[in-house]
Amino acid sequence: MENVVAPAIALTLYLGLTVLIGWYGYRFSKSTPDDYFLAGRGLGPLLLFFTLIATNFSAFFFLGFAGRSYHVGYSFYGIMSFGTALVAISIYLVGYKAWQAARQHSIISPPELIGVLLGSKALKMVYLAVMVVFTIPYLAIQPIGAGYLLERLTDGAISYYWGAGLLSIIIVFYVFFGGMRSVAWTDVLQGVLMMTLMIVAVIIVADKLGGIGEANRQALELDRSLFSREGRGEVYQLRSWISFSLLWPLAVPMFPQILMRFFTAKSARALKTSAVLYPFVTAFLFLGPVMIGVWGNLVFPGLSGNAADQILPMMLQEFAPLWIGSLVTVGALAAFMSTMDSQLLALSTMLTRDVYQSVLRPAATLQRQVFVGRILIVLLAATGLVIALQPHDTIAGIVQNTFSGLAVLFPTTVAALYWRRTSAKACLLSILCGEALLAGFVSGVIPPGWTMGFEPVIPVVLAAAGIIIVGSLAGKQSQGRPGS
Amino acid sequence: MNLSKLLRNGLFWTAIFTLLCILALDLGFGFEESIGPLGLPGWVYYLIALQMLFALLFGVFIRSYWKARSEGER
Repeated sequence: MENVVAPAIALTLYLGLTVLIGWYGYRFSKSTPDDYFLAGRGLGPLLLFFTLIATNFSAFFFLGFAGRSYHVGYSFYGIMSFGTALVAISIYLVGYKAWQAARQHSIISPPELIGVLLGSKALKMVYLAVMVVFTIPYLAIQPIGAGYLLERLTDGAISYYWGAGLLSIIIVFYVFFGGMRSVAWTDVLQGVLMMTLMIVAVIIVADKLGGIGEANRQALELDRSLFSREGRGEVYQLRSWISFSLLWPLAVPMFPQILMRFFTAKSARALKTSAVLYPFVTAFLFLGPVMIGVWGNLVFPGLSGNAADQILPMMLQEFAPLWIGSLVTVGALAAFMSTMDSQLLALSTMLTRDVYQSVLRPAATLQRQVFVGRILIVLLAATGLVIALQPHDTIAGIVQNTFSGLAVLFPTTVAALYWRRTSAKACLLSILCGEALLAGFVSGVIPPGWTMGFEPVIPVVLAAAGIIIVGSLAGKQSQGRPGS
Repeated sequence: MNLSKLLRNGLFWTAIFTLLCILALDLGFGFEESIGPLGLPGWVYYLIALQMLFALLFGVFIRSYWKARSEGER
């Protein structure tokens, strides 16, 4: 009985507060696509910063980082943090231009942005398809994370399946009613909880191991390779470091939930502030789960594959009093929920605007579009849950494939925003060839040696950019409406 | 608007600078021991310092660029 009370109180308080904020957001919302999907384009600097952070830091941050660091050591900190700091550049470069164009042409979804700027319906649909195909597996890792965490915290009283389901139902509730405004407001609560409670987790675990310095000394004695820059098994050589440092800034702004965040900014100042603050947070915050993952080798040696994704809750269960473990679990749930709600809303926005309204029912009223968007949120959450029932890979593995697939869209997006000569046909070819090349590398059809030691995404993005440049110079300029 | 152009280039050079730092990290710094009160590998401190430097440079660039831009518009 005692084992259930503390988690139950912490969870009830957190979920209750989230639903309350979501409901409050609903009371302020209007039934128009601009308001439901983009919070009336009125997010100020602080709200935008927190919603960007909370949206981008997911189950991967709380569980995936610790799981991967358990296997490879501190090398994973470098792999994740440096490239994520560079995301600041893409927030500014892509975000500002996208924000300008979205305001100028009343654009709501990312495929709409490309369709309007380059004047091609075919390109818009392919861009949409890539975003949907690669976002859904990433969406599924959030209920996977929640399932793991709640099962571990409650000693199996809440099973993996029920945990995953509970999280999805709560999210659907407040996204369904409040749209982007509720998502952004809950993101502030979730962002603060996520950051604070990760710090609490590190302090508690380190204290039980004799302090941060002592825990690291023991880990170094256990296995020196956990401290090397290449990582245990020398998995991250210099070219991998360069690849990942480029992958994150190329891929993060291509997530539909992030690209849509740029449209919600109230002003250019909001975007600038978010870009500048971003690297300060990542440099320190990412160290927390990585340290816990490395120290996990001292307490639970020999975990293999995706079993290590549970190392953070295992460490808390081992060392933290139940009530603190419950609080930190709330922080992790906040990370999952703040990403999943944004993914659901972004996918629903794209399918409503770019399939339902654009193809199936061009005469649909604004209220009808919002209604369809809400139904889609339920269906998409159910899809994510079905995938979560049988996780096929580690969290880090799912994320890497997702990021690589979306990074292929980067050259098209930048060209559409910055280069007036861009040809839509060249962009179309760039995306199709890029994804085919990526599939070739992942499936092994193309020999791994062709990447010259870099991650496949690097040659793929270079090829995609080359196709756009050559194709646009050789072909005809598109008939779209360029941004200002 | 020479300043504006200069600062625009600054963004590009910031990116190049950070990549060069990664190269330097691999070529010249052998801090793989656990050091300092936190016992982290030396290169982790170096990486945190680099990120702070990048964040500061980027912040200064954005601020200066927008100042120059708004002065130009006036």
